[in-house]
Amino acid sequence: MGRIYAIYKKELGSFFYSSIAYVFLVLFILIPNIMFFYFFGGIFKEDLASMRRFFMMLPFVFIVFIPGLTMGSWAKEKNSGTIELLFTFPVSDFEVLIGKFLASLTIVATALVSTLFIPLLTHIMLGSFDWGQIFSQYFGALLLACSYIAITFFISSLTMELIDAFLLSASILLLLTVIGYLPSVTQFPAWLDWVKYTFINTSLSTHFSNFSKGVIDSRDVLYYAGVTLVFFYLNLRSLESRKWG
Amino acid sequence: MGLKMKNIGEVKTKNIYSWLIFGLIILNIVAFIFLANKLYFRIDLTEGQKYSIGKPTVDLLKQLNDPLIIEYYYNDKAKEVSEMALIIQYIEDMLKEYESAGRGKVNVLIKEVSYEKKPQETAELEEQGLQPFSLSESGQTESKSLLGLSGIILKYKKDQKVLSAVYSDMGFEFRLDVEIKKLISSEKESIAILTASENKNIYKEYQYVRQVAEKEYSDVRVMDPGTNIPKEVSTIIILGGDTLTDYDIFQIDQFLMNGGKAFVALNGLTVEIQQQGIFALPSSSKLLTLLESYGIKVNKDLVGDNDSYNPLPQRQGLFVQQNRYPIWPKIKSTNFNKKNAIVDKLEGLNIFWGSSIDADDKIKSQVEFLFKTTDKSWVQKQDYKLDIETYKYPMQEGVKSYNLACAFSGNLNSFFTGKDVPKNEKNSTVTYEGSRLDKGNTKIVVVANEFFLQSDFAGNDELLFLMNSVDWLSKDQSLISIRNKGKFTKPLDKAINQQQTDFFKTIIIGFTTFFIPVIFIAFGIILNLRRKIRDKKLKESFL
Repeated sequence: MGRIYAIYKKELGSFFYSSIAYVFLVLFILIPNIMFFYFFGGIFKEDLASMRRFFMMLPFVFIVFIPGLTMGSWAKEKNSGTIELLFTFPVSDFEVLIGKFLASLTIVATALVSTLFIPLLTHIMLGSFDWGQIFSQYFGALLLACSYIAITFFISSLTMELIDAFLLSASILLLLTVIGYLPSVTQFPAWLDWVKYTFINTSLSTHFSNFSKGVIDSRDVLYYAGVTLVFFYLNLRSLESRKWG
Repeated sequence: MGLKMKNIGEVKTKNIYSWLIFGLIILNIVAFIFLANKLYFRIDLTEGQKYSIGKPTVDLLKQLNDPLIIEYYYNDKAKEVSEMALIIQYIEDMLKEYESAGRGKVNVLIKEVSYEKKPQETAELEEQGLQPFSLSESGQTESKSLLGLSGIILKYKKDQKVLSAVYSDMGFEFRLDVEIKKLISSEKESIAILTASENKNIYKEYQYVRQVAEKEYSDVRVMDPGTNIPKEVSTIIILGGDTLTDYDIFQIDQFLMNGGKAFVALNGLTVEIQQQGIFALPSSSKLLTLLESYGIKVNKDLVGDNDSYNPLPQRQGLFVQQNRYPIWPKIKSTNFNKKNAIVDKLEGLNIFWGSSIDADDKIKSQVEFLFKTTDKSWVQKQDYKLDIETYKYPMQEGVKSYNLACAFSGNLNSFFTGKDVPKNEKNSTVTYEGSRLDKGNTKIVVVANEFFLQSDFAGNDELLFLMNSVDWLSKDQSLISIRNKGKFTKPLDKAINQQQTDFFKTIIIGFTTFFIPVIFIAFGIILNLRRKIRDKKLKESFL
């Protein structure tokens, strides 16, 4: 635990001592908020105390922001050669992975917590929110972020260039997010029904809809936990592969 | 060489093990997903558990003596549209809850059908009452329309009811419960709607009232002044009162004395919309006199609310200007009586040229006021001004709030005690045939406004209020809480006026969107400066 904490502290420090954390936090607040307040019929256009539209666009917002944050997690270490140094420390691959993962999750959680001021201030000044729904939305957003981070970590472990990691991660996340909408824009022949349902059930955004409504469904929780764990496993295998050569 | 070969062999074995483990993990995941879909639970964190079945539904299902079969059919195209797919999922989940709450008495059948693959099956379903609806689908180049099917057939004993098209999760549970209730209850409840306003009828001006009533009650009688209230009717909805004769008033009085219930919507003034403008005169409705004799006084005044009102749109060239119009009060959520089931969950209601309402001291203990204006309201007692120009600027100071509706429950004395039965002026062939009583126990809901239920003005909130009132009157309050579950909106109405609302919005946007990023930037700069100073000191200590 102490070793995970040490890695976590080091990673978090590196985020804050470089400009990544600030760029991420500033843009994460600025862009989605502007979209929410001015373009997507947000709360002040409808005059309704609901954050549902904000959370409906969150899976798409994460597609750009999370790869931007995590692209360097392994790729940068590999590129600069610090990965070898890192693994000379008395820590296991798993502990390094968890430490890095928690550091990235902390940045995303900080960004999410700072958006909590929207319902908080609106509640104080303009109208009451359904706080159960808000809790479910933020809880779902955290689980969604865990999956996105785990996926982008794995992609980052496969590449050496930051830009490759970013583009590849964003593309895969985009695919996994929009895949759920594919059956509504494409005709599937009857014998491909199973593909259609696989698309709907595999999509990262489909499983988020219950959370954004205010419902926590064990199937959605298990899906995100499953995706996170699978990509953790793949990430560890990928890290291990450096020893194979 | 031998060592190298051994190493290669080890790596190969390790690779095989890795792939084996990977394969086993994938198998585990598949099994895991399968089990997770079979054994799952949902926690509904929304206020009032909007996405779970409520206690009234559970209680309703306990009344089942025979198996209830719920057949849900949707077509493949409907499931391909993502929004509809979520609704189908929601309905499936809810029906599974019905099945488990039914303790063996509810059998749910869920089936996907297809217009293309099995046209015969869909045709049969349409014959049974299911209705296709159009699904809008956004294609890559253009938007096209497809046919969607999502409906429920309920079977109980030899009877059958149909929810012809279910394409929204809002109010789903309520709609289903109403149909189940119709199927299992042996007594068919009858309600009547009496329209008593000059030049207004139930098929045009009050068409929504009829539509919502017919959706929930299997027997809805439409009445005109001069006709008798049918014996089967237990609750009457009276809209307006200008055209009621003495005979009608007598009938209503005796209906109430005999235990009948009434929802009354009438103004204390008559509003006339003519080409020359809008005018208002004190109402001479006999119904006002009847209500006053019971102790419920609908005042002949016009209520204005300076702080919460609906603006009046006025077209000026290409633009539509929203004018200040305080005589269309908008009831805020805080101004509903939270102790009364009819209105405790309502978030808003619009009133148009309404009057205030009072109750005599003698019946005050039996009366609950349902909603009121804000404490910045006022009334006009004569020379009513209804034109836009009068209200462009706040001229009248609002100093108190006014009650606009009340619910009465208790004993009443007949207005006609010791009086003869009036002649039926409108239809001399129709005479009073019911029993005559001087006292009676009843329930009445009175709203000092008849316009709010008119088709031009009535929205979801207004119709929701009407049907909640009818439920309360007919002693069946169990479904009120579920009906309100269809009400998902929470309006932003805490601010005292529009100016304050706009000011708060600016503060919220400014703080959350621009100020917080500035804090992060400032934090970054401070951290960076501290780091530089620390590095400099460190450097100096080495030199």
